[in-house]
Amino acid sequence: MKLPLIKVENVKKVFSGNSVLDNISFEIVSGEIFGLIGASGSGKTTLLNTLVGVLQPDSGDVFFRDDNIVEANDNSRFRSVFENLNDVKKKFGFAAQVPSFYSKLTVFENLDYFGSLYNLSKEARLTNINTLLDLVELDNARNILAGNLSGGMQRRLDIACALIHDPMILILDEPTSDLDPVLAKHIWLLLQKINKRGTTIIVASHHFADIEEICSRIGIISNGKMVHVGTLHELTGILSKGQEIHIETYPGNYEKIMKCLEDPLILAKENRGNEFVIHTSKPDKVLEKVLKVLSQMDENLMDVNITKLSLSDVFSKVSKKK
Amino acid sequence: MKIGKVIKKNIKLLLRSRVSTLVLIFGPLLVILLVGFSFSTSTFNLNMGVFSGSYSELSNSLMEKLKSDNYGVTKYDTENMCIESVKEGQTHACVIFPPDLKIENQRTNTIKFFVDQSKINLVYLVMSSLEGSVGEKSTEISKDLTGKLVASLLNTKTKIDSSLPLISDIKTEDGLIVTAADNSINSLDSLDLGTGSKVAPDTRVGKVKNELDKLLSDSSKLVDDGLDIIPELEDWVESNGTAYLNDLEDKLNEINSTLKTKHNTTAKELTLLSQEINESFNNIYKKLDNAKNVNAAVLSKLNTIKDTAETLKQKSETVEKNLQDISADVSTVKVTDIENIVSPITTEINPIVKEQTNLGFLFPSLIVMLIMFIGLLLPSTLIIMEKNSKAYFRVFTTPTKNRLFVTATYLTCMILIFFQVMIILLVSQFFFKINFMNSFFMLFVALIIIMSFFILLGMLIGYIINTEEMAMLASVSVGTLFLLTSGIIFPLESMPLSIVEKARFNPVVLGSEVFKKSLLFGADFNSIKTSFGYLLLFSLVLIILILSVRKADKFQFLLKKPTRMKIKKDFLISQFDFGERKAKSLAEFIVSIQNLNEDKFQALLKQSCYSDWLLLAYNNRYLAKKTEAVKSKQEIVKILVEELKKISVKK
Repeated sequence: MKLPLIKVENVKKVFSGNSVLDNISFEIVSGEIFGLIGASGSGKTTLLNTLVGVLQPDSGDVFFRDDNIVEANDNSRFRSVFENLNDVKKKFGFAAQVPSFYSKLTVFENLDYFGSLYNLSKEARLTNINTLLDLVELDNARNILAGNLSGGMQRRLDIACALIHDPMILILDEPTSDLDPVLAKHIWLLLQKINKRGTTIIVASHHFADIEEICSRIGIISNGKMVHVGTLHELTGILSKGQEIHIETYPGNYEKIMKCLEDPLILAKENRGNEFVIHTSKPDKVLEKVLKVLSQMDENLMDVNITKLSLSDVFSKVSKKK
Repeated sequence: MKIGKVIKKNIKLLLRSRVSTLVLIFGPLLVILLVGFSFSTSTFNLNMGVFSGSYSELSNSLMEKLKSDNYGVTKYDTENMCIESVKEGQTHACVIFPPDLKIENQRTNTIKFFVDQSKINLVYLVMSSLEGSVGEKSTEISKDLTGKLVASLLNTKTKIDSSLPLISDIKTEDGLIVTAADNSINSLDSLDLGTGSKVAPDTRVGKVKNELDKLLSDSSKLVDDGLDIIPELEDWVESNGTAYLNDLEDKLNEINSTLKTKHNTTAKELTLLSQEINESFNNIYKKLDNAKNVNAAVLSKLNTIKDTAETLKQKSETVEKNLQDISADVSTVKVTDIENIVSPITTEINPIVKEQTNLGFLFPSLIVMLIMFIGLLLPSTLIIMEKNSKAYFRVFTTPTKNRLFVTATYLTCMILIFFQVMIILLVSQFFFKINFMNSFFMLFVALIIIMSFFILLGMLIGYIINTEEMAMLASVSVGTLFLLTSGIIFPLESMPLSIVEKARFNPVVLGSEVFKKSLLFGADFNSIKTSFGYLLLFSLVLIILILSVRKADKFQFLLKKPTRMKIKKDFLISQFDFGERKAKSLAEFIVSIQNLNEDKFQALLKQSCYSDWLLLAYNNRYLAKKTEAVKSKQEIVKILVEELKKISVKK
């Protein structure tokens, strides 16, 4: 099994008597994009801050793998984030929910400044800046004041700032929270590009569709608890009753149609007024049967749609379960 | 070098922020320029309103004096108009000259000044300037009058001195008069004007007449005898001739006749003579009587003259003595120089260093004051800018030590303030002739220490306070406190002793002292080491406080509620749509809630999003509290609609 890059073990954090992180444990594997979803106030940001050592947990610990340590025992290669903050800061890049840079400095100056705070040499800074500007497509904006950049550009600059020291892990908190879908798409594509360069990414977001698209694994956090961690497939498998077939007919006598549809492959049926939905793990076979029934009942098929259970659905289900 | 990058970044941020550049960089330069011109020896442009019921030569000359002192002078038709002009700010002061102002006995010349006391600084300036101008004229008049008095006095003395011999002469001559009077009295006394036993001239004339009668009778008898002899002689003559006898007889008869005629005539004339003599005697008696009377009167007068002369002599002696005393007194007046009489004591404030302009003496306090305000404002603003900057969080994620940022902030401010102060010093050197090159090293050390203290204090304020407004307010308040207890605005001596004692340790006082001694007196280190010591001690305390606060601040930032709140607020706002945009008002919030599907409503309810929105986005703690316990959409909508109605009714 691949050795994890980060191990979060039983992390607890309480603010003013409220448990913000409640015994959270999970692992991050090198090279993956790990998505963290949860409702607002569920503890995502607190968890991310804890990962980078900005927040010290009340109990539990966060470990990172130090590849410079060569030990027979794998566990010995992990070091506590909170005991090695300086090393952690060099290995982690963090892009907070609000872009964090100086709006009165140019793109280049911001990157150069933060690069210098990481003790990078001038040459290293220049190399990294050029690479990053190219990566985040801000090369043409290098001499523009950061405050004058568009929302998407600012977000890209923020990510570039987080990457200036070429960290092993990039942590992003709601990277597309205030962006329109087009710009958000750019950011997600950028993250994929960054990931392809070998950077492990941990991203918290409300944009479930994007998370489900780019993340290899997803953690669902709810009320400070990590309720599920796994791939999308694993999550949908655990939480859903298969796929959904959405059917719209005319004249639309859905109650009658649903009565006629009795099959062990059909897990559930729903009359939603303007359509009816069938839950099944074998949509092809069920759809054949549905079409037969419709033809017998003189119902004209207006629209049919087979959908997988989305991350949003999964999240809703998790919320409802609670 | 990392610190260099931080300093460079700080300077860039400050310079690129127009407001801070204007306020912190150019503001002080502008202030010093204005203050420099204000306190330089150049004249003020003050406008004077003047009024007089009747302008005299003197009032006109006073007005001319004001004009020559570069005052604008405007004549007004009435006193009220003149006073109103001050109220309306058209003039800085109103001068009311008494009608027909002139220097006369029994006349008080009061020139009234009306000034706007609300402009206290201007008032003192105007009063001082006016006192100067009018006082100068007044002194001029006083000198003139005194000159005349002194000249008269000296002239009098000269005349007295020249009169004293005359008085001596008068005394001598008076003595002579007395003697002469005595002699005259004696002479007059001895003068006999008595008529004695007076023999009537008739008697003497009668006697003469009797004698004449006797002479006549004797002559007649003699004639008769002759006649008698004649017969005998006839006989003889008959013998000798008668003709001769006849002739003799005729001659005797003729003699007799002549005698008789002569006798008659003489008797007559004697009678007349007697009468004339009598008359003459009578006249003489009368005159003698008169002369007696006159003599008596003259004697009396001579006695009076004598007495008067003696009195005069005594008085002359008194006058002589008095005049001698006056002369002696006048001689004792050693000061006869008019200048000295008018201003017996002249005050002269001599600078202990060569004077260039008024600014020169205020300059140290001014510079320290400026350093204080920039020193307090610049770092606090810089720190608040950093704290409120979006990049603040990122800085925490970098492997950079706390001390580095503190040091970088300190050095940034030090560089900027030093740069400003150097510009001010250079400007002062060239424009206001304040020489600082003579004691540059001490001045440099003094500047570093003074600036360090205020920068560190400003940094402490910046680290303690979280908003720019509050930091600015705190900086200005602290600065004002220092300023008020520094003696620059109010004299320290007028304050309670307890404050005066503490004010000695006021950094502005210490800084001004250090700066003054370095700049003006070229003092060595020994003379300012105590003030240096205090400032260094205070700075050290501030460094410890800053590091402690910074550490606590960093910890606070990590738990920082405002950021978390802001994130939460942003999230809350994003949850409630109103058409194309987010709900802002209560009505929009209600519509937004109504449009939520039940699932989302419940999901948001679980997270207390409704009460949180009302608290954080709508800023209504009361409604937030009221909606904390709601369970359904209907319930919350009802509460909010009721509130909305109340608001509508109020409006």
